[in-house]
Amino acid sequence: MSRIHVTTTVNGDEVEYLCEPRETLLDCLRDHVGLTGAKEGCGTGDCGACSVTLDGRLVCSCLVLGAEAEGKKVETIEGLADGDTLHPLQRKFIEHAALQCGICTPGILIAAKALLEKTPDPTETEVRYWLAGNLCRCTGYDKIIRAVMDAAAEMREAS
Amino acid sequence: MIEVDGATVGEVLDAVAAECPALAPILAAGVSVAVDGQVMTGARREPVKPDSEIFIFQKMKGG
Amino acid sequence: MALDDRKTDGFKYIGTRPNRPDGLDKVTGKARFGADASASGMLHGAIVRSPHAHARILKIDATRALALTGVKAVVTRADFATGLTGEDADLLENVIAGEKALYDGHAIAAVAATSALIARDAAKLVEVTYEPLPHVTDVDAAMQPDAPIIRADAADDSVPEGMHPNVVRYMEFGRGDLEAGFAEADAIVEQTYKTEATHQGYIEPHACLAQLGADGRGELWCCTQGHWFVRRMCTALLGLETSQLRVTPSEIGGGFGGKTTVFIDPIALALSRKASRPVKLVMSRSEVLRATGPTASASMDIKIGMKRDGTITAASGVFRLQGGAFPGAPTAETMQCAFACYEIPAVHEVGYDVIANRPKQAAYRAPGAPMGAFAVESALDELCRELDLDPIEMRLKNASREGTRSSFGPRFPRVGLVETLEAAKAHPHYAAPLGPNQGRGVACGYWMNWGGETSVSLAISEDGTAQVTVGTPDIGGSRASMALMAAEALGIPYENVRCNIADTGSLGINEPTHGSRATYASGLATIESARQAIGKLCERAADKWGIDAEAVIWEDGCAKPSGPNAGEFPPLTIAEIAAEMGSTGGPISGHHEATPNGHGGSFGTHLVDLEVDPETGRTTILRYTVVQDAGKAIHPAYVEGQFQGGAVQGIGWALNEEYIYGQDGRLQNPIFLDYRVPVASDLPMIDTVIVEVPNPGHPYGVRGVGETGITPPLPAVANAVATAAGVRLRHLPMTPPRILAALEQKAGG
Ligand code: FES
Ligand code: FES
Repeated sequence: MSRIHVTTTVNGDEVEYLCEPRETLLDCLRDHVGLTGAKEGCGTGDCGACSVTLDGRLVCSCLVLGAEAEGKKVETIEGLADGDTLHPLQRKFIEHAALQCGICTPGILIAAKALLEKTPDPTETEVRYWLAGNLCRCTGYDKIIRAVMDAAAEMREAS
Repeated sequence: MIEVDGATVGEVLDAVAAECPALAPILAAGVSVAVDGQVMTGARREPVKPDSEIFIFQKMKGG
Repeated sequence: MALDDRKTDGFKYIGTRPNRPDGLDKVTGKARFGADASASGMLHGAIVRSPHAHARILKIDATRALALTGVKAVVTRADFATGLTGEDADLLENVIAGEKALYDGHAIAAVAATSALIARDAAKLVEVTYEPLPHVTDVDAAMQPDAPIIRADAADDSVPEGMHPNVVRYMEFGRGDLEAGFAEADAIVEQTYKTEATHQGYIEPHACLAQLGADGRGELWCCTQGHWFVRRMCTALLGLETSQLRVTPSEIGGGFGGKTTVFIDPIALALSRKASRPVKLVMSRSEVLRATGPTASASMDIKIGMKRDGTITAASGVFRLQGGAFPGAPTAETMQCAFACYEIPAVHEVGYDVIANRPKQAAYRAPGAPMGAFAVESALDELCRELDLDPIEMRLKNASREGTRSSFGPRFPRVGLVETLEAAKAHPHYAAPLGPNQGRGVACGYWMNWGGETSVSLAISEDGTAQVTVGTPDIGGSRASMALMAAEALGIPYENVRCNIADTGSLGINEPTHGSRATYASGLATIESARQAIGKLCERAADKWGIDAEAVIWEDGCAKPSGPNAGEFPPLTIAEIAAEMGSTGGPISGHHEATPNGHGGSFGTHLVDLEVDPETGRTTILRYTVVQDAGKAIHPAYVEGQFQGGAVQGIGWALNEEYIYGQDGRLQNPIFLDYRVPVASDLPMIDTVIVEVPNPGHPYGVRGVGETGITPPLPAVANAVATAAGVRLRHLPMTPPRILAALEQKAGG
């Protein structure tokens, strides 16, 4: 069985792993790199729990092959905070009680960060449509939307 | 509606089982009991008053 | 239980909204959920599942699977305990099929291999020979005389002579003169309502890591709502001694009732025992949808009589619930909750628990209650329209209150339904204008809540901080609630309390986090544990001062002398007492065990505005308000979160979610693309009003809040659709095709 040797950058660190041709990036991150922050909720691109960015683009890592990360930059939830300093989104999620069980949280944070990079001043509707690919079964989304809007406001003030 | 004697929930359940043997296996499998409006479980030692009103239900489950 | 020391106001910490203690781990990806664990030498498991709705298993041949490099073990039913009876026998039959596959997705065998990919490949190489049998998946069809018999001996003695063997339980209760009640009515509605099965839809699929040795000792890591239940079930199914298995709960990515039982854990343990290696087993989403959960589907006949002034004179209901291939549909709960909101002089209810070729139903948030509420609250709305009554006024007129004899027998203690109705009536939402194609719906709901077996320990550390150890997994912020209650009782800052979830080796038995019991029961035991510790802290202070312990009181985290003969001493802080505890008598802790029974039920009233597009039949929720009695909200943000999450699950049930079975008896929508749960863009903000009518059965007045919130949305949305679209839908979900069909039928006359 021939495995593929992959060299990639994850959260700024150079990383190497051997993967099966059919293994997903999500499985490679979780099983070979040891980063279990991205979650598998469906494996079919429908829940967003596995969201990461690949060269800055938001992707469902369950739909990307591990081999595709070769030479690219991967950002995961583990790289969102700057050392001890939480990203404003992370802080606002805690303050607004925007998580109950927390399984959707890593994916939603990554997706929300990607939104605010493109659209620093989103409307509620824009946030709702951007996050429509991220399922949360616990919160009814209310507090998640509020946390994202509040983080956006704070980030705009800071910049 | 039946009237039985007993000073605790457990004694009442035993009296009911003696009076209506058909209910005995159901009672043994575990039931919820309401004493004067308070639904309780695992309450065999709970005291009851002579005029207490007791309801017996299928054991309930929550989500 | 006597609650000598009740407190319902003047709180310092209760009712505040501090950050949850596990928040940091959960926003940084550090929190470890079910699938996040690994062990050295670990194998991966995969399960072989039936493609048939109903089939005899003639032969299982694993030769080719075992020949694959990396495959270490295959298990079948032969690897589990024999001679089980009752619920354990059903549980085992559901976990892994015996002679027959009973539904599409039923587990038949399992494989363990050195990687997940190899295990999946090997599962496909297990050759199972089936003899397909006729099947039935609909509840009404399953009761017909010619329906295929699913399990000949599943019915118990309650079922009357002459019923189909698929009817496995029969229930009936009532009181009053039904005939006289209906004769007195000015209007009577008599209709049949149906709801489809829905899934709990937790985003985390079931996952576990198991290790079981030939000596019968094991370790299990899994995502569960209740690890003592998991321990009992797994050891029963594997023929082990209960105490020899230690179960450690992972963080849990949602449960809603669906993680109160076991599916894969016994299989992982059996594979581990056979392969002598740790085995990790993680379900895929389609396995979750095909073989776990879902809730029951229901078909219900409702008849209600009402006077012109809105007084309900009589009510009857026949409730037929289909709970999959095993007894256990929550028919009794449906019946208890259906008419619970109202004082009705004559009421009669009949219930059937029916089996069909579907997965064994599991509890789902207020199990059984939403179906009955849909039927009854829809019927009441039909009466309000006929008699031109305001839906809130009508409900207020009949509302259950303290002393009301409930439809199911007992009289209600202090409950808060009237308060929620008054708050809904006063809410600006109720008076807001509506546009064309828009409608407003009102509905109430009830859940009785639960106490359950509970064991909690609280220990004071050397620096005067405290650790609380509970056995109820934290699914939605309950660590924060426990820490708040301990802080309040001890009089120390919230930040000085750490709440841990214990494994099964560290506490006595705890029932799962279910029945809306965690904040109520573990909270009560936390407060009682803290009070016990306070007693000891006061004794140490008394010893130091050389006075009677009775002359010491505890205030603001300090022991203080009190009373005429106590003498004058400066207060001793908890930190001062704790620093010396090693030399003053040893560790200071408190412990409380109980099955508390003072869980008061929680009532709620929901308002919804929505718009129906007459061209497409699509429904858009415009505004939503949840009003519910929380008794006392410990951490209001997480109470609101329960209200909002419950409402949105109910909206999904009302509008989109359903199990769709084909003619072949196979589930047609086993992925999230086709089993459509609400997404962010489907919804508005969900307004909440927390009503607080303190529960007399909790030291701080807490009522469970988790479940009631899923009950009113089904009828509230249906009642709003009836106005917006001008058609009454009595079958959920109200998908665009169903609404369009109803509109076309109306237009066609
Ligand atoms: S796991 Fe990738 S989208 Fe659900
Ligand atoms: S918090 Fe549980 S799924 Fe979002």
